[in-house]
Amino acid sequence: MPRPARSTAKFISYDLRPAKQSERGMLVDALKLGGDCGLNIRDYRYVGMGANRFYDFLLLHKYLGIRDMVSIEHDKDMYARALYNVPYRFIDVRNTTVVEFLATDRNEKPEIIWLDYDGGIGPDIVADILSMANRLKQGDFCFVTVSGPPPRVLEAKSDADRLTYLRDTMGDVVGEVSLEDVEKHSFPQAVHKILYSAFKNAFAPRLDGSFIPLVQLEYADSMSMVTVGGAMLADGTAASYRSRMKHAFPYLSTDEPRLYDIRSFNLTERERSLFDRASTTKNKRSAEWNTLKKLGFKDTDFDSYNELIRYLPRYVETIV
Amino acid sequence: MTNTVKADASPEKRLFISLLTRDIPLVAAFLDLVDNSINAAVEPFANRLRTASEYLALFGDETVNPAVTIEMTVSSTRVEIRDTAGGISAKTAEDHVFKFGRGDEPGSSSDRLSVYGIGLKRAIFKLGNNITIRSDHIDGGFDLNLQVAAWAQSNEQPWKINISPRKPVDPGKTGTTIVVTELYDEVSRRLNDGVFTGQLRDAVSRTYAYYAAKLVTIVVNGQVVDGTKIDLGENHASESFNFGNVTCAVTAGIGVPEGGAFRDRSSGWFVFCNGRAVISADKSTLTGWGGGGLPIFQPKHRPFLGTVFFVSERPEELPWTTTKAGINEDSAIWQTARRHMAAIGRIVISFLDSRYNDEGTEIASADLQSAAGENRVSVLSAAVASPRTFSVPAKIENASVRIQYDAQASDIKRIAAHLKKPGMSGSDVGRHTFNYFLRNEVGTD
Repeated sequence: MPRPARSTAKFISYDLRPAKQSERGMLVDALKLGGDCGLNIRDYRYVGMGANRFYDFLLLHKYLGIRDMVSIEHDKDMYARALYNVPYRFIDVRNTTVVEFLATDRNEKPEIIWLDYDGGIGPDIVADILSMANRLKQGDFCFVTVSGPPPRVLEAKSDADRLTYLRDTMGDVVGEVSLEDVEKHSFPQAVHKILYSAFKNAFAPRLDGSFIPLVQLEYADSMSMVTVGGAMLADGTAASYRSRMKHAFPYLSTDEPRLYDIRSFNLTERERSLFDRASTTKNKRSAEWNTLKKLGFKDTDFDSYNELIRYLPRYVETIV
Repeated sequence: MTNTVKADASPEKRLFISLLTRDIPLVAAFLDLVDNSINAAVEPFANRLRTASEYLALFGDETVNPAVTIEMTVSSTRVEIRDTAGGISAKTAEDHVFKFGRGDEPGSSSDRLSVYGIGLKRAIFKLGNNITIRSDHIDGGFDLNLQVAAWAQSNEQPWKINISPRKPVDPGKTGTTIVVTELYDEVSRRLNDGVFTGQLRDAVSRTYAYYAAKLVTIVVNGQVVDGTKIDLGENHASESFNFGNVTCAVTAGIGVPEGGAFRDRSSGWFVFCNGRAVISADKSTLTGWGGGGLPIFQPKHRPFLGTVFFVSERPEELPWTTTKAGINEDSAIWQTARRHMAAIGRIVISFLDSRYNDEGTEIASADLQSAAGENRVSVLSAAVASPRTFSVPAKIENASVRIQYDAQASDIKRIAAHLKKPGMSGSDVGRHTFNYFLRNEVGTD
C-alpha cells in the first residue's frame, strides 16, 4: 500500500481507533455465531473493562442485546469518571481488581468475559487466564487483550535475557516462544504464543468440553495490541461453532495458533469508495481495481480489505 | 502328610499394563523412547564411553558428528518417533525386545542408556491402543502391529507379540519407526494442552545435553533441539570416587548468571548417569538440602551449581530408578555420593551465606562473579579434572556502611517543609541531615 513518507498519525485519539473498532466488530460477529449454535447470547452476562467510554458495552448491547453487564475499574479516580460516564443504567460498574473480581464474584448465568488490559504480558495475565478456566461454565466465552511490545522491564534487555525472563516468570506457557519471537519488532508473536498456550493449558484438564480459540488478533492504532480468546464448549457445539467460524472468518484459525493482523488502512474517502466497489464485484479486473492499481495498491491490499470490509469504521468530522 | 498344590500366581495383562504405565509421567515416557534410540546410536562408540574421561574425550573429538537423527512428531491424535540408528534385528526382537525385564540375561556390553528392559514397552503402552513398529536392520528387521486392548484380553501363556520379519537392508538405510495412534483420552488432552511440546523440548534439551548435537540430532515437531549448556566458574571444588563398577565425580561451584542474575532453573544439583541427566536443578532433601549436610535452600544460594556424574559400563549398577527420572535414594552408591556432595557443597554454601549479615549484602554481585573466576568450564570438564577445592576469596572490606533507623513520619515531613522541599523522601532527609552534621559539626577532610 502506498504510504506517506512519514506518518504523522502515530498517536490516534482514543475516540478514533479504527483498528480497535474493527477488532470489536469481529469479536461481536464471532459471538453472534453462538446464536446459530444454540447459545442464547442475549441472556448472557458481559464482564468487561469499560473505562469511561464503554465502547464494547455499547456494541454488545446494540448488536447482541445483552443487558446484564459488569465493568471492572480498579483505579479509584477512574471509577468516579466511569460512574459519571456510564451509558446504560444496567451496567454495574465495580471498583475492584480483576483478581478480586474473579475470586469473589459468584455468577450462575452464562458469561462473556473480556479482560482488555492496557499493559503488557506478565505472570498476572497468565494467572487470570487460569482463574477464568476454573470459573467458566460450558458455553461461556473469555478474551484477553494485552499490548504487543516488550513490557518496560524488558525494553533494554537483550533477546536472550528477554526469553530467560519470560521463562522465569511465566514458566511452561513460554515453551513455544523462540529467540526470534522476542525481538522488539516481533514481540507481539511472543505475546500471542504465550496467551494461546495459557488458554490451551488452563482449559486442558476440563472434561466437560474443550476450549475453542475464536479470535487471535493483532492490531495497532498507536501501539500494537494482541487479543486471544474463545469459548468453552461441549464437543458437539464446538464442531458446529468451528464450522460456522470457518465460513464467516476463513482467515481465522480455531484449531491452531495463528495470529491475524488487522491491517490499518490509511485511505482517503475516495479511495475507500473504490475499494468498497472493487472488493464487492465479481469482476476482478474492474475499473475501480485498475484505478487503485495505478495508485500503487497491491493485490494483498485488496485481500485484506475484503476480509475487513464489514469492520472498518468510517469517521467523519463535523463542526458543532 | 500335607498335599501341595500349585496356586495360580500368573500375571494378568491388564493389571500389569496399568501398573506399569501409572508411575511414569508422559514426558518421561517420551524420553524412554529417546533413550532407546540413543542407546542404539551410541553402540558404535561404546568402547569409547567407559569412563567420565572418555565421555569428555569423545565430546571434544571434532571428527565425531551426529550420524543419527531422532525425530519426534507429536499431535493430539498421533505420536511418531523415528530414528536412523542401526535398527533392531528380527532375532533380537523375537528373543529380547518385547520381554518385560531382562531376567538373568546380561545386558549388551554396548548398552549405555538401556537398563531394565522395560522402557520401550512402558512408553508405548502409556500412549495409546494402536502401536506400529517398523525396524530395518542389516540382518533383517521386523514389522509389528499391536492392538493393546485386544492383546490384553487374550490369556495365552507365555505372553507373545506377533512380529513379521523384514528383509535385510544396506547399512545406510537402517532405523526404527514407532507410531502410536488411538491415543488414550488423558494422553490426547495432555498433548493438546498448549505446553506439552515446550515441556518435551525443554526436557530433551536438559536430559540429553551431552548427546544432543554431538552424537545425535534430536528433532521435536520439526524443530531441532539443542542441548542445554551448563557451565560453572573455574573456581570450584571437585572429588571423585569409585564404587564397584561405577565411577562418580562430584563438582560444586558458582554457576554462570543469565541476564545478569543467577536463575533458579540453573542452580542446585544436577545428576547425570552415563551422560543422561536424571535430576536437574534439585534443591530438595534428596540432594542433601535441609538436613543432609546442607542448609534448606534459600534464594541467596541461587548461584550454587553442583553436578554428580556417574559412569558405568553396567548401567544397571547406576543409582537411577526405572523411569530414569529419579534416584534410588537408598542405594549405597547414592548414599556415598551424598556424603561427598555435602562435603564439597558446604564450602561454597558457606561462602554464599557470608554474603549477607544483619546489615544486608556484604558481597556484591560483581565480587561474586570474581569469586567464581574469570573463566567458565563445562560441568563435564570439571567432573573429569583432578580433585580440587573451592578457594574462598578474602573478604573485601566495604568502604561504606549502610545506615538504617526509624523516625517519626511527622518529623520527616517537618524537616522536608523546613528545607522547603515537601516531596523529600525519608532517605533523602536522612542523607541531608547526615551530611549537614558531618559538614557543620565534624568537618569534612
